[in-house]
Amino acid sequence: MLHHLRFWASLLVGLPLLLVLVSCTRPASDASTNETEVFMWTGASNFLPEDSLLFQTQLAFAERQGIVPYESGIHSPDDLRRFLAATRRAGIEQTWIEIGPDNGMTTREFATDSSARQSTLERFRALARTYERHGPEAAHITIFDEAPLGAFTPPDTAGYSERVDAFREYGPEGFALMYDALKAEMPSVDVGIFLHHPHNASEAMAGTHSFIDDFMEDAQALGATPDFIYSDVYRGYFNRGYGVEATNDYVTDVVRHTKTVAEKYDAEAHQLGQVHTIKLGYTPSQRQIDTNVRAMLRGNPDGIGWYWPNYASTNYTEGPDGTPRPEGYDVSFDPFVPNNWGKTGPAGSLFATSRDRFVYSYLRIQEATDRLDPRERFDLWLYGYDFGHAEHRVHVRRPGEDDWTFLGVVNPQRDRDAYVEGARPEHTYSYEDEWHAVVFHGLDRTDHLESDSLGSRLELKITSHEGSDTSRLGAAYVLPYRATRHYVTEVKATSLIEDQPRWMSVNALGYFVRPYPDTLRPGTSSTYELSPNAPIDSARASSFRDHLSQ
Amino acid sequence: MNRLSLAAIVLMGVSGVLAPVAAQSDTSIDQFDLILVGDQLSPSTHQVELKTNPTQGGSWTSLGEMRCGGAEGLVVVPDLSRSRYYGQDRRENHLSLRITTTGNASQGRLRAVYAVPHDEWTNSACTQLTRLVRSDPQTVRRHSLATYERPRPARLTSNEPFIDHVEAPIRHRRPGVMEVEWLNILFQ
Repeated sequence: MLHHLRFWASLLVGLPLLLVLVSCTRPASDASTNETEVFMWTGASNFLPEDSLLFQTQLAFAERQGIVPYESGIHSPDDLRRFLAATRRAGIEQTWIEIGPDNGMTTREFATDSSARQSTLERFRALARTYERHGPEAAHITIFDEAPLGAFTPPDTAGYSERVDAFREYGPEGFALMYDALKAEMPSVDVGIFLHHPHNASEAMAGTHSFIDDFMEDAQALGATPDFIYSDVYRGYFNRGYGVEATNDYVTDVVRHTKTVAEKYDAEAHQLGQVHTIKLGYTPSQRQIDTNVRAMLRGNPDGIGWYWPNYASTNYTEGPDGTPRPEGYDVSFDPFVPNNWGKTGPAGSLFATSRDRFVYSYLRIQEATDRLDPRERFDLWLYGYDFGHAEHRVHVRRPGEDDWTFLGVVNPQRDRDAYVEGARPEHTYSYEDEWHAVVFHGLDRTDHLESDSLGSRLELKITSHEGSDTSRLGAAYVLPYRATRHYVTEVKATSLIEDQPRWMSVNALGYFVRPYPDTLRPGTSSTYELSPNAPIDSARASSFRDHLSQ
Repeated sequence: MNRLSLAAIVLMGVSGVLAPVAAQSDTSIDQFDLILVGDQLSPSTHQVELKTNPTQGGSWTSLGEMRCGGAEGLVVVPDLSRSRYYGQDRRENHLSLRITTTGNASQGRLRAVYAVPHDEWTNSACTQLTRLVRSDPQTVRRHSLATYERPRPARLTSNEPFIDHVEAPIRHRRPGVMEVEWLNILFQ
């Protein structure tokens, strides 16, 4: 009997303690319910000088989805400070940068000549000190970019085999010197190695070109075991020649092999995939994006993500007189239709030029890694006239709350010279002088909605900048999250709103429609409440008279 | 299809003895006014019809008298019977609307339709209503039994009539329970 009492007493005392422990060890958000990390190449160095609204919108998306921004354009501590400040303003405390040695020296010179490497190592130490002072929750630094391609400066006469030979001989020593410089200033940072993918593939797939295992062994012997192995495969370079399935097998092999090797050294393996238009002009289709995600995950990586710019981003080239002229290639930016093979142009961000493909690709990863529960998300559709480049800032909040959450700007689509107004309006999300939908996908219901059995309420604020040229807002809808297998592009959303208004109101959790559109006046903010339809009662029926007699 | 559901359909189609049922809305509102919002709507060029419910044979019925014709952008068809027009099935969830454009008129556009509790439409009330649908349509929606709103107007042409449903909200937590209640009414 006493044993029973002791048992129940200990249970009464222990259970609350256990619950506290369990609650303390729960993931901070649903974004971390799965251990697969998701990262996003940002192209930040192209946007930060102006702190562009496009970049802010991209970071707001990353913050909502728990995605780690990855920036490869960091050179100086000032670059890093700007990047970290921007991510912190967006509420992001986990970041990732990629750096490499100064130009102008060979692998051998770096490894054997202390004066040759001094400048690089001083810069690395300064970067690490800056990163350390920022105090991030987590910091990753990748060294090199597809080494030996993006690493040291080989002699002009060196072929690829010679570059590989030199890197295999002196690369581990060079890496160890950089690794030590970073760790000395920031012991908590994860430092990883990024080889070109044939060297990360298995020997069965790549033969003697595979050498990541050797590299890890050499680095370990030098006391500089990488914390992670980074790899990329852009399927567009293989899909045409080898077919979809062989390409998928290759992607899986690279991931699986890097993971196998990484585990031997208690390291992680991360894989970068392609949804952008590569330099050959190839763009993956929706199906190929799906299969690419599956192919990467089959290799059991610790993290995956996508590269940031579209190449072949313009159909224009500079003519003899310096003005743009059309090349005559049919470069489509339809989000899910493969582009024709075409001429390359200056690159611009995927987010700006193929926003639906960008959003789809990340949400596909989120779903495939169980980082997103569709039942807990919703989509916000806005519909209006003349939603040109970044004219309006969008905020939302739960009714009754004080603070607004920034979702992004409406339709940011220009970030570099290639996207100056009028350069190629047929290939951008222009939306100038036309009615169009803009969609924010995968928002969190708990954060923003007040819901009951009838539906949901949401407050929406749209702030128009002084230079805005009088856009109009026709409707806004809170819709249940559409899983990526039902993904709706902004073009499709536009036709649904215009052609199926009754379907929209019946299926929305909350909405408002302006039969006469509201003018979004420059320099002002407009607020709206999205609400569900509710059956009318006697009180409301009689109160309508009050509105008519005012 | 099981025998019960077949019987239900037969009853719904031919018996004509069952009254429609209100679902989570106030049955004390017997009469309503239909507000049509748009551009260049005119009784002389636009014939407005609602379908009577199955107990009345399910035919299109032309609506006659209109109010607020002088107000810009809207007309009101007053004093319509809820039991006559509400619902094409036993769930009583919509009005079925048809607008036929006569002659050569091709400029009419429909932006919204609201079914509001019946009221008197003085000139002042019509003016206020015009203001509300332009600046605060949410208030009109909130006081409506049924609503149809378009962010882009539908063009009304003489080529073909405009037909759509004006939806009445009847959302509830327990669809299964409600279905049985409907069937109980159907078979009583």
